[in-house]
Amino acid sequence: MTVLTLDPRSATELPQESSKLAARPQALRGQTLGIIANGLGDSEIMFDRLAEVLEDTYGTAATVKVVKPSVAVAPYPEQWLTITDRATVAVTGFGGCGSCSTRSMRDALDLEAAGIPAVCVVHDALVPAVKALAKFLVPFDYPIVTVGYPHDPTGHWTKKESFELAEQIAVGVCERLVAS
Amino acid sequence: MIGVEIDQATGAKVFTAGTEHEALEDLHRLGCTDGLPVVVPTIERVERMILAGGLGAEMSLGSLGPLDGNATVHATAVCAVMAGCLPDYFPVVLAAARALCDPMLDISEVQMTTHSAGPMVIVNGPARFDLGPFDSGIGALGPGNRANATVGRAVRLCMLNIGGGRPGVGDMALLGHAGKFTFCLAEAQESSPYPPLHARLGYSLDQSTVTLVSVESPHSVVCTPTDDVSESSNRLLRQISLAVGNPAANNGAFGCGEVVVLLNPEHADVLNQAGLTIDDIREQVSGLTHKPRATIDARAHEPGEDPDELIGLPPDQILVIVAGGGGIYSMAAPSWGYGVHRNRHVTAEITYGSACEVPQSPPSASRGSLPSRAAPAWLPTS
Repeated sequence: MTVLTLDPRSATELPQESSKLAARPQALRGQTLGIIANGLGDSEIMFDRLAEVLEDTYGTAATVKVVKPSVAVAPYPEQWLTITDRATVAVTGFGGCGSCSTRSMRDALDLEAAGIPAVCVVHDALVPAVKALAKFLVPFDYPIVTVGYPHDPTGHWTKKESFELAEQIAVGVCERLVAS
Repeated sequence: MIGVEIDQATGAKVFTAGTEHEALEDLHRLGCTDGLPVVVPTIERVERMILAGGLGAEMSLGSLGPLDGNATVHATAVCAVMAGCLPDYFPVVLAAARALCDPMLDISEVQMTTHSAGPMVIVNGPARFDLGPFDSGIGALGPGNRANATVGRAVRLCMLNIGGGRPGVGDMALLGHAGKFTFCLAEAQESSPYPPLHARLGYSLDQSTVTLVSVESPHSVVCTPTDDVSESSNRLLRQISLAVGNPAANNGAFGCGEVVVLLNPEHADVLNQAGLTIDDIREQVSGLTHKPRATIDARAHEPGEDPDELIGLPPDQILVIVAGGGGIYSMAAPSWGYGVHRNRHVTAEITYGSACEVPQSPPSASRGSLPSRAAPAWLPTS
């Protein structure tokens, strides 16, 4: 006798187009940086500084930023359109708690599916979570940029700390957004 | 290695096994179970479940996060079979799945937060008897009732298999709790001096509903009433407020997130005899939860914040139902509160009675009936 079992996972299969990285530009010069921020702690200060560093050091031409209504949700449709209409590369984050880190990873993967190279910025404490989620959604090891201890995972940083973090991660962000 | 293929007759994805035992082990290996044995969802079992729901198999009830899986009737039926539901229960599972997919429930965020909240399923109306029976009395949230146990479990399996809420992947709860296996009860409408939840939400008494609200495991509220109704009522309200306004949990610490108060029928009688309506109870409990910010240590106190600012739960964040056996213990279930809608409750109507006949349906003798007792005071007599 053969038992035919229905696969309970069928409903969570994602479209094929979300399973590949967007084409990367050769350099960041002239690109418009999109930021999908979740407002966790003081991370917006870090992202604002990151935009300045990428402009000063790598020549990004402009920045467009949206701040989601809550740390753990997708952007509003109009926020999504703001980013996808204007940005040519993007960062998402900050992933410092369970719901915000995995959602930030989803934001990055959704951007990739929309053809916009993206990178998700997360805390070391949440790397297993976002890696596991990405592994479930795309058939490769999705690149991320991390912030580690002693910096607080939930983004409660001083302004000085936020600036230092932005300067630390800028190289990694650039490397993951351009063609290797 | 498990080979997944398309069944030519139904177009569904299936995998094959030599025996039921092997199929069960495959489901465990694929991460499709809650860790306990499940009923293997064969094509025949799932078709029978779908028939009992009265809806087309491919009809979508919505998308379920965090992976935005399509909660079709078919996918929901697979989970109901795995949970051990009788087909009779399936309309309740379908209503619960619709509620799960409602954005107001913030289920993606609830699944992905490191907090341990999970949806409690509250059944109201005639479906408690027509489709169960669902238990609302002694031990209603504990083991022993098939409808409560399997419907709650079906909801969890939907979250796991359709929503992708696997621990450490789409479910980031640092610890979780036992209610994340199954978490379903009915309201004890016939034992309650108050109108039932669904009537208070605008449904008629002959309608049936499920209400989902994501909470932690419930905590005990002990209070021994005396003949002094006023004094007993005040003590009971203070005890409830300590449980729902506990500053160690999010609700008391940050003043957000909907909590569920499960009054046992005797406690409900005390409050009713004291002249309190449900809204009065919510108002008074809310007032008692407020405490100065300086007394709350969930976060480091920051310069500039007002130490005397009162933090507490607003009345509309306190959901009250009556359930359980009569005695000195009621319960309160705290919550998370940080979804975009503050993980508010969602109610969906259970529709049934129009489904196709279910082949080999179990005998109706297994069903419950309305208990014979005096009509509660809130029930219209005309």
